[in-house]
Amino acid sequence: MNTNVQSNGFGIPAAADFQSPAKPPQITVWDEPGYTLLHTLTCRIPLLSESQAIHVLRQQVCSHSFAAARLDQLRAAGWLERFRCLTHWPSMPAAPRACWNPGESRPELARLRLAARRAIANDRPRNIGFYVASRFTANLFGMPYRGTVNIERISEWLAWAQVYLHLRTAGSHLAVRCNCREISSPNRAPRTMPSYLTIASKGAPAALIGLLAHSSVNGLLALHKHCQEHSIPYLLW
Amino acid sequence: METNRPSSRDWHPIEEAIVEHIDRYGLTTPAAAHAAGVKGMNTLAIAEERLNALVRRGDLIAEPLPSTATGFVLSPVAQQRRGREITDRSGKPLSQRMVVERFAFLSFCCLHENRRTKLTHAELRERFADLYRPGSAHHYYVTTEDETPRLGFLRVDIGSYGRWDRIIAKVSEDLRHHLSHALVRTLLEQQAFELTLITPLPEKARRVQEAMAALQNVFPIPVRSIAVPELVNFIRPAPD
Repeated sequence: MNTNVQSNGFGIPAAADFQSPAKPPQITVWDEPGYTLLHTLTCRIPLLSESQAIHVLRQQVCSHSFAAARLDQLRAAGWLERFRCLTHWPSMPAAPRACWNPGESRPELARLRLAARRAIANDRPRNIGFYVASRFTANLFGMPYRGTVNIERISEWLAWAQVYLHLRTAGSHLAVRCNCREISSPNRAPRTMPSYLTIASKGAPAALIGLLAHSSVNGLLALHKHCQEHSIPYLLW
Repeated sequence: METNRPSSRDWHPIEEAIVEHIDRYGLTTPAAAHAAGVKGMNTLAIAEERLNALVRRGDLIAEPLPSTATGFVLSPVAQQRRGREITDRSGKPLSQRMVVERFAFLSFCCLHENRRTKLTHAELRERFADLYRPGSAHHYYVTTEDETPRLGFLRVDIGSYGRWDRIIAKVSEDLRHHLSHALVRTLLEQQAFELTLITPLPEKARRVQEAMAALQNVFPIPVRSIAVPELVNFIRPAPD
């Protein structure tokens, strides 16, 4: 996971004024790694597998055992919830399968989607433990609770986590601007647009990230049309 | 919580000012009393010393807060001397919700850049009688941060297990309720009324602000959402 997303022709300027939010100093109940994890699970992506969550915590300069203990503490204190289910682990490529910038021709979405779906179909389901922000935590951050997700969507949500971790590991400025507001929550009405991560810049979307394998062809076409109309670049994984 | 023998002597003007300040907000901390410019609270150390002296004399009760600070509330004796009715609840520890709400109000009025003053029951009854409801806690303040002094209503969001956007419905209900008062409509014409929501984290404050901005045509009352991160230390979800 060492791809620099910027080198893939994805034309978003780095926002000099934007940094990953630090824990407000007045909060003493969470330490910095704990805050980062809760912020990630509410504002950036809907869920993290246990290994992904430990990965996020370890990026905050802490050992594996400390990270595992911190996860347990956050769960025991009611800030996180843990679930387990049988699902496909998302095998993600090392780089996005498609990058589109305004003015360019439309990628071959149907073909790319088929390739992405074939890659998933080859994997066998695994018993995976994952974490979501508790109802209370989600409310506190002003985000929907993600613990009532349909089990069939867990693989998709793990894929969002993989993409996010990829961006973080690559040191990309995109990771700290991700938000998962447009990832469908159980209460949201069905719509044409597929779920996507928004990369925000000064309050407006500067780019979108979509998942080929977990979107319909019509959804991808709608996403392309939306981005074309609003001149927003997108990345498809 | 600690109580000592009741006070029987007259209050010194400085003590009177401290007790009046705590009676207004229901709670104070040395930092808030100092920042609010309460008479005699010239430094943080002096504020702490004077508040502790009043605890020893039985006028105040020290209430441990989740942060490093200690909170101070009026003892039943001091409440009685301020003309408050003594009930079974007087002198008992405050509920978590009460502590959070009182701390939020105190912080909003005394520890923020722009100073506000919470109205006491008597002030509300005297100046805005239409909004006064006997026997119930109120959340009105006055701010002079702009040229025109404004009356404000404060709602404190301490989180819950429900959907995050239920707070939008609550704030909308507050707005609807206030718009039904002729007094508030008159104040609005003079740009002298506002509503503030306090929420612990800036992320939620931003979302509420966005949602309320979208409702500005329905509810023509200025609404702002402010984060007080320290409140996170006061609230705890129940472990699963």
